[in-house]
Amino acid sequence: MKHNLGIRDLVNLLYQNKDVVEMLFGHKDSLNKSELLAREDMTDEKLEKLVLYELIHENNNIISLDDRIVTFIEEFLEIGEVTTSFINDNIQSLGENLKYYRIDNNPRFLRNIKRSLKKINSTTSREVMKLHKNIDDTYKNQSNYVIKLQELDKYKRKRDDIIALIKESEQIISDAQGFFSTIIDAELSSIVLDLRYTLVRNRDYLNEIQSQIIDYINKIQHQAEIYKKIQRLKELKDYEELKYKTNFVDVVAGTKALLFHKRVVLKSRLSLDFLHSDHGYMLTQKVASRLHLLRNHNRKPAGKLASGFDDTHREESASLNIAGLIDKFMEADTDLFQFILHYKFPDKVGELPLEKRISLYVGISIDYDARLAISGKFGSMDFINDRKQKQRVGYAIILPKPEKAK
Amino acid sequence: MNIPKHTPEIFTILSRGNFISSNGSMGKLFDIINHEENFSILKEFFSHTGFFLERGHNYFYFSQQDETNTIMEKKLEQFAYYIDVMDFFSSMDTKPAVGTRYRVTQIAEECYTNERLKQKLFALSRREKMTDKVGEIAGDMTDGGFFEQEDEDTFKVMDAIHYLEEVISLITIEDDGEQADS
Repeated sequence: MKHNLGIRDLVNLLYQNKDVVEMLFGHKDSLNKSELLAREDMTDEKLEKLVLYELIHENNNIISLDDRIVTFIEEFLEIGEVTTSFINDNIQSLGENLKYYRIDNNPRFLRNIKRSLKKINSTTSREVMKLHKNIDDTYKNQSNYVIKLQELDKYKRKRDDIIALIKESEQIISDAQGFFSTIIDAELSSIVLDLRYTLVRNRDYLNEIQSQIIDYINKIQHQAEIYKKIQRLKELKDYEELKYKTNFVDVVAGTKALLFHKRVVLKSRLSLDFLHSDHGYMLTQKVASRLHLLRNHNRKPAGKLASGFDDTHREESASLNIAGLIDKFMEADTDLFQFILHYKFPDKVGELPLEKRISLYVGISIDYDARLAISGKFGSMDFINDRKQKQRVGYAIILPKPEKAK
Repeated sequence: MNIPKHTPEIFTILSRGNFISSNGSMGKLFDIINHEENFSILKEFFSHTGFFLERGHNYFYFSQQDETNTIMEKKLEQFAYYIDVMDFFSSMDTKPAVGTRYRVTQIAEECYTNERLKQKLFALSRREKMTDKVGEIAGDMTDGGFFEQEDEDTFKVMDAIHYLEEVISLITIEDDGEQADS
Protein backbone atom coordinates (compact mmCIF):
# COMPACT_ATOMS: atom_id res chain seq x y z
CA MET A 1 0.00 0.00 0.00
CA LYS A 2 1.21 3.40 -0.88
CA HIS A 3 1.29 6.25 1.59
CA ASN A 4 1.16 9.76 0.28
CA LEU A 5 3.73 12.12 1.63
CA GLY A 6 3.60 15.89 1.71
CA ILE A 7 6.72 17.98 1.04
CA ARG A 8 6.95 18.70 4.73
CA ASP A 9 6.73 15.04 5.72
CA LEU A 10 9.25 14.06 3.07
CA VAL A 11 11.79 16.65 4.11
CA ASN A 12 11.26 15.78 7.76
CA LEU A 13 11.67 12.10 7.10
CA LEU A 14 14.87 12.69 5.17
CA TYR A 15 16.16 14.97 7.89
CA GLN A 16 15.44 12.44 10.63
CA ASN A 17 17.37 9.81 8.72
CA LYS A 18 20.04 12.07 7.26
CA ASP A 19 22.92 9.86 8.38
CA VAL A 20 21.35 6.76 6.92
CA VAL A 21 20.54 8.52 3.66
CA GLU A 22 24.11 9.75 3.40
CA MET A 23 25.45 6.29 4.09
CA LEU A 24 23.13 4.63 1.60
CA PHE A 25 23.97 7.20 -1.04
CA GLY A 26 27.66 6.55 -0.51
CA HIS A 27 27.32 2.79 -0.68
CA LYS A 28 24.89 2.67 -3.58
CA ASP A 29 23.91 -0.98 -3.86
CA SER A 30 26.18 -2.76 -1.49
CA LEU A 31 24.67 -2.25 1.95
CA ASN A 32 23.44 -5.24 3.92
CA LYS A 33 20.29 -5.05 5.99
CA SER A 34 22.09 -6.37 9.08
CA GLU A 35 24.82 -3.77 8.59
CA LEU A 36 22.23 -1.02 8.55
CA LEU A 37 20.37 -2.37 11.58
CA ALA A 38 23.64 -2.53 13.47
CA ARG A 39 23.68 1.26 13.50
CA GLU A 40 22.62 2.84 16.75
CA ASP A 41 20.16 5.20 15.11
CA MET A 42 18.37 2.46 13.20
CA THR A 43 15.64 0.16 14.42
CA ASP A 44 13.38 -2.35 12.74
CA GLU A 45 10.42 0.01 13.00
CA LYS A 46 12.28 2.92 11.48
CA LEU A 47 13.46 0.76 8.61
CA GLU A 48 9.94 -0.50 8.03
CA LYS A 49 8.63 3.05 7.97
CA LEU A 50 11.22 4.10 5.39
CA VAL A 51 10.37 1.09 3.25
CA LEU A 52 6.69 1.85 3.62
CA TYR A 53 7.14 5.39 2.32
CA GLU A 54 9.32 4.03 -0.49
CA LEU A 55 12.34 6.06 0.51
CA ILE A 56 14.38 2.91 0.55
CA HIS A 57 13.96 -0.51 -0.96
CA GLU A 58 14.87 -3.90 0.30
CA ASN A 59 15.89 -6.68 -2.01
CA ASN A 60 17.43 -9.93 -0.83
CA ASN A 61 18.64 -8.30 2.34
CA ILE A 62 20.34 -5.56 0.33
CA ILE A 63 19.11 -2.09 1.16
CA SER A 64 19.21 0.73 -1.36
CA LEU A 65 17.91 4.27 -1.64
CA ASP A 66 14.98 4.97 -3.87
CA ASP A 67 16.14 5.94 -7.35
CA ARG A 68 14.25 9.21 -7.24
CA ILE A 69 16.16 10.29 -4.19
CA VAL A 70 19.49 9.20 -5.68
CA THR A 71 18.70 11.14 -8.85
CA PHE A 72 17.63 14.16 -6.84
CA ILE A 73 20.88 14.22 -4.86
CA GLU A 74 22.99 13.63 -7.95
CA GLU A 75 21.18 16.36 -9.78
CA PHE A 76 21.67 18.77 -7.00
CA LEU A 77 25.33 17.97 -6.42
CA GLU A 78 26.03 17.87 -10.17
CA ILE A 79 27.46 14.40 -10.00
CA GLY A 80 26.47 11.12 -11.52
CA GLU A 81 25.90 10.09 -15.09
CA VAL A 82 25.73 12.59 -17.87
CA THR A 83 22.29 12.66 -19.40
CA THR A 84 20.99 14.63 -22.30
CA SER A 85 17.34 13.91 -21.63
CA PHE A 86 16.81 16.98 -19.45
CA ILE A 87 18.10 19.32 -22.13
CA ASN A 88 16.06 17.46 -24.67
CA ASP A 89 12.88 17.69 -22.58
CA ASN A 90 13.31 21.41 -22.15
CA ILE A 91 13.91 21.97 -25.84
CA GLN A 92 10.69 20.07 -26.59
CA SER A 93 8.73 22.08 -24.08
CA LEU A 94 10.22 25.35 -25.39
CA GLY A 95 9.10 24.47 -28.93
CA GLU A 96 5.60 23.60 -27.75
CA ASN A 97 5.13 26.70 -25.66
CA LEU A 98 6.40 28.94 -28.45
CA LYS A 99 3.80 27.39 -30.69
CA TYR A 100 1.04 27.86 -28.10
CA TYR A 101 1.99 31.47 -27.44
CA ARG A 102 1.86 32.29 -31.10
CA ILE A 103 -1.70 30.97 -31.12
CA ASP A 104 -2.75 32.44 -27.81
CA ASN A 105 -0.92 35.35 -26.16
CA ASN A 106 -1.55 33.90 -22.75
CA PRO A 107 1.11 35.07 -20.19
CA ARG A 108 1.11 31.52 -18.86
CA PHE A 109 2.82 30.32 -22.04
CA LEU A 110 5.31 33.17 -21.87
CA ARG A 111 6.15 32.13 -18.35
CA ASN A 112 6.68 28.57 -19.58
CA ILE A 113 8.91 29.81 -22.40
CA LYS A 114 11.04 31.75 -19.98
CA ARG A 115 11.28 28.80 -17.67
CA SER A 116 12.32 26.46 -20.48
CA LEU A 117 14.97 28.91 -21.67
CA LYS A 118 16.39 29.20 -18.17
CA LYS A 119 16.36 25.46 -17.74
CA ILE A 120 18.15 24.87 -21.04
CA ASN A 121 20.76 27.29 -19.82
CA SER A 122 21.30 25.60 -16.46
CA THR A 123 21.00 21.97 -17.58
CA THR A 124 23.38 22.45 -20.51
CA SER A 125 26.04 23.99 -18.29
CA ARG A 126 25.51 21.33 -15.68
CA GLU A 127 25.74 18.41 -18.07
CA VAL A 128 28.86 19.80 -19.69
CA MET A 129 30.47 20.19 -16.29
CA LYS A 130 29.50 16.66 -15.35
CA LEU A 131 30.86 15.39 -18.65
CA HIS A 132 34.22 16.97 -18.02
CA LYS A 133 34.34 15.70 -14.44
CA ASN A 134 33.45 12.17 -15.48
CA ILE A 135 35.96 12.06 -18.31
CA ASP A 136 38.74 13.17 -16.00
CA ASP A 137 37.61 10.77 -13.34
CA THR A 138 37.44 7.85 -15.76
CA TYR A 139 40.88 8.52 -17.16
CA LYS A 140 42.49 8.91 -13.79
CA ASN A 141 40.65 6.35 -11.70
CA GLN A 142 39.26 3.57 -13.85
CA SER A 143 41.84 0.86 -13.43
CA ASN A 144 40.70 -1.57 -16.10
CA TYR A 145 41.82 -0.06 -19.34
CA VAL A 146 39.33 -1.90 -21.54
CA ILE A 147 36.47 -0.42 -19.53
CA LYS A 148 38.29 2.89 -19.48
CA LEU A 149 38.43 2.98 -23.27
CA GLN A 150 34.78 2.10 -23.61
CA GLU A 151 33.69 4.64 -21.04
CA LEU A 152 35.65 7.37 -22.78
CA ASP A 153 34.10 6.33 -26.05
CA LYS A 154 30.67 6.60 -24.44
CA TYR A 155 31.48 10.13 -23.25
CA LYS A 156 32.64 11.02 -26.71
CA ARG A 157 29.20 10.10 -28.01
CA LYS A 158 27.48 12.01 -25.20
CA ARG A 159 29.56 15.00 -26.07
CA ASP A 160 28.34 14.76 -29.68
CA ASP A 161 24.75 14.54 -28.39
CA ILE A 162 25.14 17.65 -26.30
CA ILE A 163 26.68 19.52 -29.23
CA ALA A 164 23.68 18.54 -31.34
CA LEU A 165 21.30 19.77 -28.65
CA ILE A 166 23.15 23.05 -28.37
CA LYS A 167 22.84 23.51 -32.10
CA GLU A 168 19.16 22.72 -31.93
CA SER A 169 18.65 25.25 -29.14
CA GLU A 170 20.54 27.89 -31.08
CA GLN A 171 18.42 27.16 -34.13
CA ILE A 172 15.19 27.54 -32.19
CA ILE A 173 16.31 30.78 -30.61
CA SER A 174 17.47 32.32 -33.85
CA ASP A 175 14.23 31.23 -35.56
CA ALA A 176 12.22 32.80 -32.77
CA GLN A 177 14.39 35.93 -32.61
CA GLY A 178 11.94 38.01 -34.60
CA PHE A 179 9.11 36.73 -32.54
CA PHE A 180 10.92 37.47 -29.26
CA SER A 181 11.52 41.07 -30.32
CA THR A 182 7.77 41.60 -30.64
CA ILE A 183 7.31 40.72 -27.00
CA ILE A 184 8.04 43.60 -24.72
CA ASP A 185 9.57 41.87 -21.77
CA ALA A 186 12.92 42.97 -20.28
CA GLU A 187 13.40 39.71 -18.47
CA LEU A 188 12.87 37.65 -21.61
CA SER A 189 15.54 39.47 -23.58
CA SER A 190 18.06 39.17 -20.82
CA ILE A 191 17.29 35.43 -20.50
CA VAL A 192 17.75 34.95 -24.22
CA LEU A 193 20.98 36.92 -24.22
CA ASP A 194 22.27 34.94 -21.30
CA LEU A 195 21.36 31.64 -22.91
CA ARG A 196 23.06 32.56 -26.18
CA TYR A 197 26.21 33.40 -24.33
CA THR A 198 26.05 30.14 -22.34
CA LEU A 199 25.53 28.07 -25.46
CA VAL A 200 28.50 29.61 -27.23
CA ARG A 201 30.69 29.17 -24.19
CA ASN A 202 29.67 25.55 -23.74
CA ARG A 203 30.29 24.81 -27.39
CA ASP A 204 33.83 26.07 -27.01
CA TYR A 205 34.17 24.09 -23.86
CA LEU A 206 32.93 20.95 -25.56
CA ASN A 207 35.42 21.38 -28.37
CA GLU A 208 38.14 21.47 -25.77
CA ILE A 209 36.69 18.38 -24.12
CA GLN A 210 36.62 16.65 -27.47
CA SER A 211 40.33 17.08 -28.00
CA GLN A 212 40.93 15.96 -24.46
CA ILE A 213 38.95 12.77 -24.93
CA ILE A 214 40.83 11.99 -28.13
CA ASP A 215 44.10 12.68 -26.35
CA TYR A 216 43.14 10.38 -23.50
CA ILE A 217 42.00 7.62 -25.81
CA ASN A 218 45.22 7.82 -27.78
CA LYS A 219 47.27 7.69 -24.64
CA ILE A 220 45.43 4.65 -23.38
CA GLN A 221 45.83 2.87 -26.68
CA HIS A 222 49.49 3.80 -26.73
CA GLN A 223 49.82 2.49 -23.23
CA ALA A 224 48.18 -0.81 -24.10
CA GLU A 225 50.80 -1.21 -26.79
CA ILE A 226 53.52 -0.36 -24.32
CA TYR A 227 52.33 -3.07 -21.97
CA LYS A 228 52.41 -5.60 -24.78
CA LYS A 229 55.87 -4.44 -25.69
CA ILE A 230 57.13 -4.71 -22.13
CA GLN A 231 56.02 -8.30 -22.01
CA ARG A 232 57.69 -8.98 -25.33
CA LEU A 233 60.93 -7.40 -24.11
CA LYS A 234 60.76 -9.44 -20.94
CA GLU A 235 60.41 -12.57 -23.05
CA LEU A 236 63.48 -11.62 -25.08
CA LYS A 237 65.35 -10.86 -21.90
CA ASP A 238 64.53 -14.26 -20.47
CA TYR A 239 65.95 -15.82 -23.63
CA GLU A 240 69.05 -13.63 -23.25
CA GLU A 241 68.26 -12.06 -26.61
CA LEU A 242 67.55 -8.55 -25.38
CA LYS A 243 71.01 -7.26 -26.24
CA TYR A 244 71.12 -8.87 -29.67
CA LYS A 245 67.65 -8.59 -31.07
CA THR A 246 66.95 -5.06 -29.92
CA ASN A 247 68.78 -1.79 -29.68
CA PHE A 248 68.36 -1.93 -25.91
CA VAL A 249 72.00 -1.05 -25.23
CA ASP A 250 71.95 2.00 -27.51
CA VAL A 251 68.68 3.26 -26.13
CA VAL A 252 69.77 2.92 -22.56
CA ALA A 253 73.08 4.56 -23.42
CA GLY A 254 71.08 7.44 -24.80
CA THR A 255 69.11 8.02 -21.61
CA LYS A 256 70.57 10.95 -19.82
CA ALA A 257 68.34 11.10 -16.78
CA LEU A 258 70.20 11.56 -13.57
CA LEU A 259 68.32 8.62 -12.09
CA PHE A 260 70.80 6.20 -13.60
CA HIS A 261 73.88 8.10 -12.54
CA LYS A 262 75.78 7.47 -9.41
CA ARG A 263 74.15 9.62 -6.79
CA VAL A 264 76.54 11.98 -5.18
CA VAL A 265 75.15 13.58 -2.10
CA LEU A 266 76.18 17.17 -2.01
CA LYS A 267 77.92 18.06 1.18
CA SER A 268 78.56 21.51 2.48
CA ARG A 269 80.17 22.94 5.60
CA LEU A 270 78.38 24.99 8.16
CA SER A 271 78.95 28.66 7.80
CA LEU A 272 80.96 29.98 10.73
CA ASP A 273 79.23 33.34 10.47
CA PHE A 274 75.96 31.52 10.86
CA LEU A 275 77.11 29.70 13.98
CA HIS A 276 77.99 33.03 15.54
CA SER A 277 74.49 34.35 14.95
CA ASP A 278 71.62 33.96 17.43
CA HIS A 279 69.96 31.38 15.27
CA GLY A 280 73.22 29.46 15.05
CA TYR A 281 73.60 29.58 18.82
CA MET A 282 70.12 28.13 19.26
CA LEU A 283 70.95 25.39 16.82
CA THR A 284 74.19 24.43 18.51
CA GLN A 285 72.38 24.35 21.85
CA LYS A 286 69.84 22.00 20.34
CA VAL A 287 72.48 19.70 18.91
CA ALA A 288 74.45 19.78 22.14
CA SER A 289 71.42 18.81 24.20
CA ARG A 290 70.67 15.96 21.85
CA LEU A 291 74.24 14.73 22.29
CA HIS A 292 74.00 15.17 26.07
CA LEU A 293 76.86 17.60 26.10
CA LEU A 294 74.99 19.87 28.45
CA ARG A 295 74.57 17.51 31.40
CA ASN A 296 76.64 19.83 33.55
CA HIS A 297 75.02 22.82 32.05
CA ASN A 298 74.50 24.43 35.49
CA ARG A 299 77.99 23.85 36.74
CA LYS A 300 79.43 27.09 38.17
CA PRO A 301 83.09 28.09 37.94
CA ALA A 302 85.05 26.75 40.90
CA GLY A 303 85.63 29.14 43.82
CA LYS A 304 89.01 30.38 44.90
CA LEU A 305 91.36 27.61 45.95
CA ALA A 306 92.33 27.46 49.63
CA SER A 307 95.95 28.42 50.07
CA GLY A 308 98.30 25.49 50.46
CA PHE A 309 95.74 23.05 49.06
CA ASP A 310 98.53 21.24 47.27
CA ASP A 311 100.62 20.61 50.44
CA THR A 312 98.86 17.34 51.09
CA HIS A 313 99.91 16.11 47.73
CA ARG A 314 103.60 16.52 48.29
CA GLU A 315 105.74 13.50 47.82
CA GLU A 316 105.79 11.50 51.01
CA SER A 317 109.49 10.79 50.76
CA ALA A 318 110.13 14.50 50.95
CA SER A 319 108.45 14.76 54.33
CA LEU A 320 110.04 11.58 55.64
CA ASN A 321 113.21 12.24 57.44
CA ILE A 322 115.01 9.04 56.46
CA ALA A 323 118.27 9.96 58.13
CA GLY A 324 116.42 10.65 61.41
CA LEU A 325 114.64 7.34 61.06
CA ILE A 326 117.97 5.51 60.73
CA ASP A 327 119.29 7.28 63.82
CA LYS A 328 116.28 6.12 65.78
CA PHE A 329 116.67 2.61 64.44
CA MET A 330 120.31 2.52 65.59
CA GLU A 331 119.06 2.97 69.12
CA ALA A 332 116.22 0.53 68.85
CA ASP A 333 116.39 -3.05 69.93
CA THR A 334 114.70 -4.74 66.97
CA ASP A 335 115.33 -5.69 63.35
CA LEU A 336 114.80 -3.17 60.54
CA PHE A 337 111.66 -4.78 59.13
CA GLN A 338 109.81 -4.95 62.40
CA PHE A 339 111.02 -1.41 63.21
CA ILE A 340 109.63 0.09 60.04
CA LEU A 341 106.45 -1.97 60.24
CA HIS A 342 105.61 -0.71 63.66
CA TYR A 343 107.14 2.75 63.55
CA LYS A 344 104.64 5.44 64.27
CA PHE A 345 105.19 8.16 61.67
CA PRO A 346 104.29 11.72 62.51
CA ASP A 347 100.69 12.84 61.78
CA LYS A 348 101.83 14.97 58.90
CA VAL A 349 102.84 11.86 56.98
CA GLY A 350 99.78 9.90 58.03
CA GLU A 351 99.36 6.13 58.15
CA LEU A 352 101.60 4.39 55.65
CA PRO A 353 100.23 1.24 53.98
CA LEU A 354 102.12 -2.04 54.11
CA GLU A 355 103.54 -1.75 50.57
CA LYS A 356 104.97 1.68 51.33
CA ARG A 357 106.60 0.36 54.49
CA ILE A 358 108.09 -2.60 52.62
CA SER A 359 109.52 -0.37 49.90
CA LEU A 360 110.91 1.91 52.61
CA TYR A 361 112.54 -1.16 54.21
CA VAL A 362 114.07 -2.14 50.83
CA GLY A 363 115.19 1.41 50.13
CA ILE A 364 116.88 1.81 53.50
CA SER A 365 118.58 -1.58 53.30
CA ILE A 366 120.19 -0.47 50.04
CA ASP A 367 121.02 3.16 50.83
CA TYR A 368 122.29 2.70 54.37
CA ASP A 369 123.86 -0.76 54.20
CA ALA A 370 127.11 0.63 55.63
CA ARG A 371 125.39 1.20 59.00
CA LEU A 372 123.42 -2.01 58.94
CA ALA A 373 124.32 -5.55 59.80
CA ILE A 374 122.69 -8.13 57.58
CA SER A 375 122.36 -11.16 59.75
CA GLY A 376 121.79 -13.70 57.00
CA LYS A 377 118.72 -14.98 58.88
CA PHE A 378 115.16 -14.68 57.68
CA GLY A 379 111.94 -13.92 59.37
CA SER A 380 108.42 -14.18 58.05
CA MET A 381 105.09 -12.46 58.62
CA ASP A 382 101.49 -13.43 57.84
CA PHE A 383 98.96 -10.84 56.79
CA ILE A 384 95.64 -10.57 55.00
CA ASN A 385 95.69 -8.60 51.76
CA ASP A 386 93.05 -6.34 50.21
CA ARG A 387 91.29 -9.23 48.59
CA LYS A 388 90.93 -11.02 51.95
CA GLN A 389 93.50 -13.63 51.00
CA LYS A 390 96.05 -14.93 53.46
CA GLN A 391 99.58 -14.04 52.41
CA ARG A 392 102.97 -14.63 53.94
CA VAL A 393 105.93 -12.41 53.33
CA GLY A 394 109.49 -13.43 54.10
CA TYR A 395 112.22 -10.85 54.90
CA ALA A 396 115.88 -10.72 55.79
CA ILE A 397 116.56 -9.80 59.39
CA ILE A 398 118.67 -6.67 59.42
CA LEU A 399 120.08 -5.34 62.65
CA PRO A 400 121.88 -2.10 63.47
CA LYS A 401 125.64 -2.38 63.08
CA PRO A 402 127.35 -1.89 66.40
CA GLU A 403 128.73 1.68 66.65
CA LYS A 404 132.19 0.53 67.53
CA ALA A 405 132.71 -0.89 64.06
CA LYS A 406 132.40 2.53 62.61
CA MET B 1 65.84 36.87 -14.28
CA ASN B 2 63.47 36.05 -11.46
CA ILE B 3 64.41 32.72 -9.97
CA PRO B 4 61.57 31.04 -8.06
CA LYS B 5 61.73 30.90 -4.29
CA HIS B 6 61.62 27.11 -4.18
CA THR B 7 64.66 26.62 -6.42
CA PRO B 8 66.89 25.09 -3.69
CA GLU B 9 64.19 22.56 -2.83
CA ILE B 10 63.72 21.72 -6.49
CA PHE B 11 67.45 21.33 -6.95
CA THR B 12 67.81 19.06 -3.92
CA ILE B 13 65.15 16.69 -5.19
CA LEU B 14 66.19 16.63 -8.82
CA SER B 15 69.92 16.39 -8.13
CA ARG B 16 69.32 13.15 -6.28
CA GLY B 17 68.02 11.72 -9.51
CA ASN B 18 64.40 11.99 -8.44
CA PHE B 19 61.49 13.00 -10.59
CA ILE B 20 58.99 15.72 -9.80
CA SER B 21 55.56 14.45 -10.88
CA SER B 22 52.36 16.44 -11.06
CA ASN B 23 50.24 13.81 -9.31
CA GLY B 24 52.38 13.17 -6.25
CA SER B 25 53.25 14.86 -3.01
CA MET B 26 55.58 17.17 -4.94
CA GLY B 27 52.74 18.44 -7.09
CA LYS B 28 53.24 21.92 -5.69
CA LEU B 29 56.83 22.04 -6.91
CA PHE B 30 55.66 20.73 -10.27
CA ASP B 31 53.23 23.63 -10.52
CA ILE B 32 56.00 26.08 -9.67
CA ILE B 33 58.30 24.78 -12.39
CA ASN B 34 55.39 24.61 -14.80
CA HIS B 35 54.30 28.17 -14.04
CA GLU B 36 54.70 30.60 -16.93
CA GLU B 37 58.36 31.32 -17.62
CA ASN B 38 59.74 29.35 -14.72
CA PHE B 39 60.71 26.30 -16.73
CA SER B 40 62.98 28.18 -19.10
CA ILE B 41 64.38 30.31 -16.28
CA LEU B 42 65.24 27.26 -14.21
CA LYS B 43 66.58 25.34 -17.20
CA GLU B 44 68.95 28.20 -17.95
CA PHE B 45 69.85 28.56 -14.28
CA PHE B 46 70.56 24.88 -13.68
CA SER B 47 72.48 24.49 -16.93
CA HIS B 48 75.37 26.35 -15.29
CA THR B 49 75.63 23.55 -12.73
CA GLY B 50 75.96 20.83 -15.35
CA PHE B 51 72.43 19.55 -14.81
CA PHE B 52 69.82 19.89 -17.51
CA LEU B 53 66.23 20.34 -16.49
CA GLU B 54 64.06 18.18 -18.72
CA ARG B 55 60.32 18.18 -19.20
CA GLY B 56 58.37 14.94 -19.61
CA HIS B 57 54.63 14.44 -19.80
CA ASN B 58 53.59 15.97 -16.45
CA TYR B 59 56.97 15.43 -14.84
CA PHE B 60 60.41 17.03 -14.63
CA TYR B 61 63.85 15.55 -14.14
CA PHE B 62 67.55 16.31 -14.44
CA SER B 63 69.82 14.89 -17.09
CA GLN B 64 73.58 14.95 -17.30
CA GLN B 65 75.65 14.68 -20.41
CA ASP B 66 78.96 13.02 -19.64
CA GLU B 67 79.19 9.48 -18.43
CA THR B 68 81.68 6.70 -17.95
CA ASN B 69 81.66 3.02 -18.76
CA THR B 70 80.95 1.91 -15.23
CA ILE B 71 77.80 3.98 -15.18
CA MET B 72 76.80 2.51 -18.51
CA GLU B 73 76.97 -1.02 -17.14
CA LYS B 74 74.97 -0.06 -14.11
CA LYS B 75 72.38 1.63 -16.26
CA LEU B 76 71.91 -1.44 -18.40
CA GLU B 77 71.55 -3.59 -15.36
CA GLN B 78 69.12 -1.20 -13.75
CA PHE B 79 67.00 -0.84 -16.82
CA ALA B 80 66.88 -4.58 -17.32
CA TYR B 81 65.52 -4.75 -13.80
CA TYR B 82 62.87 -2.13 -14.58
CA ILE B 83 61.78 -4.21 -17.55
CA ASP B 84 61.25 -7.14 -15.19
CA VAL B 85 59.30 -5.02 -12.76
CA MET B 86 57.22 -3.33 -15.45
CA ASP B 87 56.52 -6.73 -16.95
CA PHE B 88 55.29 -7.88 -13.56
CA PHE B 89 52.97 -4.93 -13.06
CA SER B 90 51.66 -4.91 -16.61
CA SER B 91 50.83 -8.60 -16.33
CA MET B 92 48.33 -7.78 -13.64
CA ASP B 93 44.69 -6.92 -14.09
CA THR B 94 45.43 -3.40 -12.96
CA LYS B 95 47.95 -1.79 -15.29
CA PRO B 96 50.62 0.60 -14.03
CA ALA B 97 49.02 3.67 -15.59
CA VAL B 98 49.39 7.14 -14.14
CA GLY B 99 47.23 7.47 -11.03
CA THR B 100 46.77 3.76 -10.48
CA ARG B 101 46.84 2.80 -6.85
CA TYR B 102 48.30 -0.54 -5.88
CA ARG B 103 47.73 -2.15 -2.54
CA VAL B 104 50.49 -4.51 -1.48
CA THR B 105 48.09 -6.99 0.08
CA GLN B 106 45.91 -6.91 -3.01
CA ILE B 107 48.84 -7.66 -5.32
CA ALA B 108 49.99 -10.47 -3.05
CA GLU B 109 46.45 -11.83 -3.17
CA GLU B 110 46.44 -11.77 -6.96
CA CYS B 111 49.80 -13.58 -6.99
CA TYR B 112 48.38 -16.39 -4.88
CA THR B 113 45.74 -17.10 -7.46
CA ASN B 114 47.78 -16.40 -10.60
CA GLU B 115 50.63 -18.86 -11.03
CA ARG B 116 52.31 -16.87 -13.81
CA LEU B 117 52.42 -13.73 -11.70
CA LYS B 118 53.63 -15.71 -8.76
CA GLN B 119 56.60 -17.02 -10.72
CA LYS B 120 57.49 -13.54 -11.91
CA LEU B 121 57.33 -12.27 -8.36
CA PHE B 122 59.51 -15.08 -7.05
CA ALA B 123 62.11 -14.30 -9.70
CA LEU B 124 62.13 -10.65 -8.62
CA SER B 125 62.49 -10.89 -4.88
CA ARG B 126 63.98 -13.32 -2.45
CA ARG B 127 62.08 -12.10 0.55
CA GLU B 128 60.24 -14.80 2.37
CA LYS B 129 56.69 -13.51 2.69
CA MET B 130 54.63 -12.75 -0.37
CA THR B 131 53.70 -9.29 0.88
CA ASP B 132 57.36 -8.54 1.64
CA LYS B 133 58.28 -9.49 -1.91
CA VAL B 134 55.67 -7.14 -3.32
CA GLY B 135 56.70 -4.47 -0.84
CA GLU B 136 60.31 -4.75 -1.96
CA ILE B 137 59.67 -4.18 -5.64
CA ALA B 138 57.09 -1.48 -4.99
CA GLY B 139 59.76 0.13 -2.80
CA ASP B 140 62.28 -0.07 -5.64
CA MET B 141 59.83 1.69 -7.94
CA THR B 142 59.31 4.29 -5.23
CA ASP B 143 63.05 4.85 -4.92
CA GLY B 144 63.14 5.40 -8.65
CA GLY B 145 60.37 8.00 -8.31
CA PHE B 146 57.90 6.03 -10.44
CA PHE B 147 55.65 5.19 -7.49
CA GLU B 148 54.87 7.05 -4.35
CA GLN B 149 53.88 5.46 -1.08
CA GLU B 150 50.64 6.89 0.28
CA ASP B 151 50.30 4.77 3.37
CA GLU B 152 51.74 1.54 4.66
CA ASP B 153 49.90 -0.52 2.13
CA THR B 154 49.18 1.79 -0.78
CA PHE B 155 51.40 2.89 -3.66
CA LYS B 156 50.37 5.36 -6.33
CA VAL B 157 51.79 5.43 -9.85
CA MET B 158 53.43 8.77 -10.64
CA ASP B 159 53.55 10.68 -13.92
CA ALA B 160 57.23 9.76 -14.05
CA ILE B 161 56.19 6.27 -15.16
CA HIS B 162 55.95 7.88 -18.61
CA TYR B 163 59.72 8.11 -18.54
CA LEU B 164 60.04 4.33 -18.47
CA GLU B 165 57.35 4.04 -21.13
CA GLU B 166 59.18 6.53 -23.31
CA VAL B 167 62.42 4.59 -23.07
CA ILE B 168 60.61 1.33 -23.74
CA SER B 169 58.91 2.73 -26.80
CA LEU B 170 62.30 3.87 -28.10
CA ILE B 171 63.55 0.29 -28.15
CA THR B 172 63.06 -1.37 -31.50
CA ILE B 173 62.78 -5.10 -31.76
CA GLU B 174 64.17 -6.85 -34.78
CA ASP B 175 61.35 -8.18 -36.85
CA ASP B 176 61.32 -11.87 -36.16
CA GLY B 177 57.83 -12.45 -37.38
CA GLU B 178 56.38 -12.60 -33.90
CA GLN B 179 55.34 -9.06 -33.35
CA ALA B 180 55.63 -5.80 -35.16
CA ASP B 181 57.40 -2.89 -33.55
CA SER B 182 55.35 -0.22 -32.02
